Amino acid sequence: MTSAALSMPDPSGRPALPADASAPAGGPGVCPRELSAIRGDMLRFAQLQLGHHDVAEDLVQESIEAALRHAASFSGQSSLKTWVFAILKNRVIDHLRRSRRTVSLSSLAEEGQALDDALDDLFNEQGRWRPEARPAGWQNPESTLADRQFWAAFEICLDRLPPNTGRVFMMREFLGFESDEICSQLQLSTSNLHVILHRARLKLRACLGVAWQGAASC
Amino acid sequence: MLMSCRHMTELSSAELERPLRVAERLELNTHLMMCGPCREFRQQARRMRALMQRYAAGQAPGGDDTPPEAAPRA
Repeated sequence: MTSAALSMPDPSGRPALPADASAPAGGPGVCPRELSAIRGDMLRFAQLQLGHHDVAEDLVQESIEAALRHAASFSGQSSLKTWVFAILKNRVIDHLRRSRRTVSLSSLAEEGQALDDALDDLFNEQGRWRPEARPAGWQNPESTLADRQFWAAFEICLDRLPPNTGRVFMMREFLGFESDEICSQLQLSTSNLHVILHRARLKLRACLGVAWQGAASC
Repeated sequence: MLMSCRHMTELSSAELERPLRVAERLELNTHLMMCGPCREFRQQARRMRALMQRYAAGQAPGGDDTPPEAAPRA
């Protein structure tokens, strides 16, 4: 992974996407077969984020078609997967903005209860870290970013978050929604959102400590 | 509540969402001076955010190669 690949297209963090129906199709580097290999991952991501198979399927299909239509604007600077995921990500964001409710509040409450119970594994009665749960240091961030094992572990750990909690966490941290927007979209109070994000971070961090770093010594 | 690591992780997480109040900041900083695991938690929560943002901005895992988990899943 080169540092050139880190440059961000614009301050909002949203990659420049081809305007609809402008670029001529048939550019180099976009191979339909390669796209279909990425499809499974796209579907999994969209489904996690939307909680709805058919809608996820539609958005993935639209994204792949858009990628093929605008193949000429794929420069090959980023990987095809990155590029296509950026297209999908923006469609997911648009869809979430348009649709009223993608997260079930009652499920969120149930998940919260279960997560809280699980937090007793991390903290003792006085709220201190249990010795085996104490966060230990991670490797330096530069190598982390390039580390496939990290991302593989990250994916596993995200999957282990309860679905509605994971969806809220991803809206905030991956899709880049502002807190206010999440609250109004999902009709959550700010403090409620903060509680959800806190639980998600605790859980995710604890999982990464094991899945990525191994049973870290402390 | 002053020494509760659980509460401190709450503040470290809240810090990513809103500015902490003066009393909260004082409470957190005082605790962090004495508690290594809570310092790690705070740092890792921030690092997770930074990594997710870079990932979302187009930094795919594994760079230009196809990552091992890219095989389609039924």
